[in-house]
Amino acid sequence: MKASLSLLAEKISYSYSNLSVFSDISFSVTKGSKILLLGSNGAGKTTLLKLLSGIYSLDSGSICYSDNKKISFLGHQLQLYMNLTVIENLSFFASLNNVKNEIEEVVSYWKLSEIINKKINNLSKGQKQRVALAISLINKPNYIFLDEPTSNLDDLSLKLLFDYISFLYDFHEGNVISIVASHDLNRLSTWANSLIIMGDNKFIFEKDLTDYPENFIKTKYLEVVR
Amino acid sequence: MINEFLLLLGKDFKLEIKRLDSFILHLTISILLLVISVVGINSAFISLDITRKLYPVFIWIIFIFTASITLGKSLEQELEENAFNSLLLFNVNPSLIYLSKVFVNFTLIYFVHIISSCLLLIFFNINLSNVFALYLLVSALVVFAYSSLSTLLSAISSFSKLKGLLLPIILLPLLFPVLFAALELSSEIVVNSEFDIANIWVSLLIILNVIYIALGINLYEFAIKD
Repeated sequence: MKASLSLLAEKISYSYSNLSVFSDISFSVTKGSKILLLGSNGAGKTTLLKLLSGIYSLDSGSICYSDNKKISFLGHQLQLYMNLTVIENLSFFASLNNVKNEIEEVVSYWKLSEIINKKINNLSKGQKQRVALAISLINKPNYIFLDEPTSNLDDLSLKLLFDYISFLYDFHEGNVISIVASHDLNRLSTWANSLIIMGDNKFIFEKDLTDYPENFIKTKYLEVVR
Repeated sequence: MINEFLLLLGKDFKLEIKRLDSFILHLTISILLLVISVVGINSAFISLDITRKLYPVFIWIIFIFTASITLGKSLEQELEENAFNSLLLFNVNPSLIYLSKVFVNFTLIYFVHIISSCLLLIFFNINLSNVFALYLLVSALVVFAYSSLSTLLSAISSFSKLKGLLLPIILLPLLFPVLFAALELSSEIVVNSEFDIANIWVSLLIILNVIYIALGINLYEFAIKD
């Protein structure tokens, strides 16, 4: 039996150029959480995701993960080599993760076969985003942090993304935590089972949305960011 | 670990080969400076003995000018869409990222330096055939020290607002001992056609190489984190 997955943030603080982005935030997340992260522009959503994924270092506080962590983060930057082709990027990152034998599956799942020999620089924004998602999730992570993943994706690609995230929950027997920052309430409110709203020194965390009415997320969001 | 290093090395060479601009610029400026040096020497009607004495000065001035052009170029492709994040999220050892970049920078700079050296020897009518291997060895030590230091410092300065200014300001003073050793040793080889391996300058070059590479291995992680 796999150990239960968790994420525990204790009194985390972060400042940028002497400006406090947020301070003394604490929360805990358990396995199976699908968290929608909302907030006005500049509220610190990207910063929070980068802190949770370890890209930024905390000013103070601590973040604890389970031992078997595999973190994936995809933000506004694609985190790819723009002068290499799709297949060169895929095989490099797949080899790093010892999953080179799964490249064909990845290409087929993310529908990349037509663009496989094109340089990333020559792809459309949506295609670039699809390749970036395929690579960031190539090691089957159990902590998934995505920042605005829907911004360049069409409905088909978005379905691929959330179907793949569902597959990861099955693959890890539910031992996955995902946090997705987005303004796209229409497309994401039905996916999430928890909610974080950040704005104006407020940090609201609703752990279970099942008993709330359908428009709860929108109402709560407008309440905080107003 | 060796596999990981070879993968990084393959990727870095591929990136350099696909975007040859810095290599071509490096080689072109090197040849241009060579031609200027040769025209200057010829028009001054300097004797062969004095030309021999001037050779080390010219070749290392050409080296420092041309190598400075490539500073930071190897990082540009990593920083374009922040591919460093992917490497760090996939738990790639930052020391290996550093060593791979040092090796690629060393290969490119050393290749251009050897071409420049051979051309200048031909233009200055100097025959080094019996000690050329020693000249190659000294050049390798100097170029390796330069590559290891400049790779670290270009990463440190790349996140600074003053990166264009900061890098030469911090790099050149730290390179002075390397350049002094380069001048002394190549003078001995070119002028006296002899070379003592127990020379203090050789020891200094080796020690500086060890210090720079050790600093790079230990500090690169902090330099590339956002």
